[in-house]
Amino acid sequence: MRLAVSTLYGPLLWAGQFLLVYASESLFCRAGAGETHRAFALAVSVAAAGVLVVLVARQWRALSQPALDSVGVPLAGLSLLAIVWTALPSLLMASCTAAT
Amino acid sequence: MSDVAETQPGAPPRHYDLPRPQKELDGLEAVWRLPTGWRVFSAINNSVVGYLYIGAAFLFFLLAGILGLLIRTQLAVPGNGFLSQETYNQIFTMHGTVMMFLFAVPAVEALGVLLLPQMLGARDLPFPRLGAFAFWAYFVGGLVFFATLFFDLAPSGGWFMYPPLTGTAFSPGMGADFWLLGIGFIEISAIAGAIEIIVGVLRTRAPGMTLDRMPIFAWTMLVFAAMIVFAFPAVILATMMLEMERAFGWPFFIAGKGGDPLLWQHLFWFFGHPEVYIIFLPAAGMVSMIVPAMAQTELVGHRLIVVALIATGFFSFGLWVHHMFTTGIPMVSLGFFSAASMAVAVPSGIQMFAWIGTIAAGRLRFATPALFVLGFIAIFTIGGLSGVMVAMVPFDWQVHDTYFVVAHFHYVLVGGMVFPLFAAFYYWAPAFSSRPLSERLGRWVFALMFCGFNLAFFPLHIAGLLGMPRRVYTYPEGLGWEPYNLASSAGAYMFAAGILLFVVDLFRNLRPTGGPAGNVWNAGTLEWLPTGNYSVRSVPHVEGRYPLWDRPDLPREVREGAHYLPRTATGMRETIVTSPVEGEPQFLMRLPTPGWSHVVAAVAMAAFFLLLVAKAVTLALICGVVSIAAMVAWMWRADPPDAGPVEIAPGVEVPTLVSGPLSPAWWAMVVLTMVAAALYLSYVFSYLFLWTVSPEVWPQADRMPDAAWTSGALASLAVSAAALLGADRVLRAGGTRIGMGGLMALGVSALVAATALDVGALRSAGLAPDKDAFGAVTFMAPLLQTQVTAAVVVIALFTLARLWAGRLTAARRVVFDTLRLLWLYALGQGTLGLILTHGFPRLMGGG
Repeated sequence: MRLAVSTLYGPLLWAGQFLLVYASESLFCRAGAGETHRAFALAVSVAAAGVLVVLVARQWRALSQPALDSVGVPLAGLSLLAIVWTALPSLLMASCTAAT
Repeated sequence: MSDVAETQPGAPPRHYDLPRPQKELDGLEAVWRLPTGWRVFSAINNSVVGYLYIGAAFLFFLLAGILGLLIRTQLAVPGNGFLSQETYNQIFTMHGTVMMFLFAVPAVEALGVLLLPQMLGARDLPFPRLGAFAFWAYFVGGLVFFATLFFDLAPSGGWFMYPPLTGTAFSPGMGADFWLLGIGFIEISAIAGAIEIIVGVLRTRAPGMTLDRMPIFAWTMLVFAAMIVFAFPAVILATMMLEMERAFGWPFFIAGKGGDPLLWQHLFWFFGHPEVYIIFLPAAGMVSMIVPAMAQTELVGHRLIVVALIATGFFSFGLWVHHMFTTGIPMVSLGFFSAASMAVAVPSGIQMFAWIGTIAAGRLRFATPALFVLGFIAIFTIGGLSGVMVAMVPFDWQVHDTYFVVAHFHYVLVGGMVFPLFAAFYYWAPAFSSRPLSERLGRWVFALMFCGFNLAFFPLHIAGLLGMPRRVYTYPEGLGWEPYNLASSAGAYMFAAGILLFVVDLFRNLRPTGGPAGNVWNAGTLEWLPTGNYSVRSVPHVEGRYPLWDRPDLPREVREGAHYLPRTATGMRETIVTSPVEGEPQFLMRLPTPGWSHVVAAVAMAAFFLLLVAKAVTLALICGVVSIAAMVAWMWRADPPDAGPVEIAPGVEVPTLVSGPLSPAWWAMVVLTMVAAALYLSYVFSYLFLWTVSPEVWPQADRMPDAAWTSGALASLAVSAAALLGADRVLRAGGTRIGMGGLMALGVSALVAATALDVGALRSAGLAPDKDAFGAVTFMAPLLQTQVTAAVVVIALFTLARLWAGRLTAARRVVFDTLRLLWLYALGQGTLGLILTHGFPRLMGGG
């Protein structure tokens, strides 16, 4: 279990960020707080990226199980890319605007 | 007889001295002997079941392919009257449904069943009878489902079955019900197969085969099965809800009553998009096995491919809304899914470059499997690029629901799955047939399929850009679509000619009996070791990713019995269970023998679902009881008594009885609870989704049931939990039948009572499931809880019967351990359901 987490933390963090920023939009819009969704989404994204970078740095230093760490680190790299891409729409567009 | 054991941990054991006594091989052959004549259908060996599985999947490929030809015949010229509109709708619905559910997923699952044990150095997968059950359920259910076409009863709402078209108002016949219950049932079979594969890959690898040394195909099957566990439950929930709406008027998808057809699309595509990768990843795994053998060099970037597989598995769950870009979802949300759609292209690119790198690093032998791999790379790359195009929201708006999308997904699915599958047929045939398939015919098959495919589908991109919509049974002339459609139809027939030639090749050359032709490609992985019905004669200690290249003498040593388990240690069928990461031997698992109970269970369960469609409820219930009885008969012998520790290699002894996390059964139940949890999370999503779209049907807090009911239900769950933990303690202490029996009866009764109290509470407040979407989604919680509670009740009765028969003791307790897991899950789900359905409306205070 611990091994699974130490390998999969990257995509797990992306999944958490994705779920939070996506699901929260409907809830914020529904609650009439659409204008704060952008700040929320960006805060979640920065937090996810920050945690990811810290974890990668720790893993890089420790390298206790070289074989599997060498899966965890590149996986985290791909996940960081996905986190940044997922954050971009919030940076560029206003929330709660219907597609027309 | 044996050498002295190695002392340092993790080191490979010494070999057995050769030659081995003949009686060892005789014993192995005796316990693994196949039933003969028609009794071969009672066989559960992975080799027999794998063959049947692939044969059935290929049959459905041919049948759905014929439907595809009918579609292309109809569309060859404008205004064609070859098929009527209704018939065309049934045919295109069945083409998609059969290709996705009865061909693509079962075909890769079948290859997993056939190849994995040999590739991992196991004698068989850990639950052979479950695998055989999954096959029979799929085959019988699939045949009946397909036969609906001949009685004008087939579904006609598209393979995606969008409501409101598929609701009773617009699809009043039985066709949609056949889809919902038939496909729902076949998905259960796919999940059974996935559980088998996950536990098999993680626990039955050869000693020494660490995760890092595991072949890529096994990695892809692991990711594939994990994705099934999380993706399929969403569509199972959706089919349950749509069937409840059709049969009992629970309005989940009816907008006038607070439901939303978009909920179906969310649930369907939460399954449907990962489904594409569920199909593609194992095919990519096949390519990762074939390319190194064809290029005679190790796979470039092995570990990066593992990274890419895991990343694809995750990212593919963040793509589902890209099927819904035109449904009016807010712009920013579309942006999230567009971003994830681009992110998933990166790991796919990693795999592609790794294959190209491997081909460049070695010397590619241009045999038929290599041709199909090259065809795959070309076609899938085109499909991937048009995929990036439709991942862009503005472009997607232009081509949505046009033939551009049809062209795109055929490039992805046929390129990404069918071409690798044919590469696999040509590549692995010599591992199972005494003659390889024909190289000469194979080249023709490839040429016809490759040219035919591109002729059939490339022009459709242009037809789509010219505005030709999907799902139309005909089109008028003069719109400029004619040449593209005619070319496409010609290409489809050319493609079909290639398939026909392949069938000829199969009949001429495939010889499943008489021993395999052997390692004709000089491949490096374990499935090319000499095999019999028992898989390998002895199981080697794996020290690298390509053991046959590292140790050229290995096939001889294995065949002569120098390695692990060259005999049957307990006189039964056995396989070595190893630790999930390092592959250390932990346990000798005894496997079941041929029988009919799983066949009866599968056929009766298929009958149960299909008779429900025909509204023959009594007969359906009888079949349901027969199915459960057959399962009980099957499980009764599944947990043999302790045979003491046995030697599996010189100086290496392992136990024959384990419990808890060491036992494969425990792992299987953990995976099953994940399936149930995924289904329940989809339900929670549905609840909150409906609340966000129709808050007006949510009641005010004062119209909710009295809190005393809720407290009573929660207290009942607490009593159930206490009784379960008490029973666990009594069993550990070697306690009495009366004590155990009493506590279990109390616990199960309390679990049932909690659901009854829940329903009573909702009824007492005047809520009804058919009144509005709130009622429907609220009553769904006790319905789902009843499902899991029923499973707990059946297994608890089974456990009690074993206790009474003296087959459940403090040491031999696997049945109780697995029951406990499911029971604890049921308690958790029940608590969450009560908090959500009773607490949430009170908290939010209605719309």
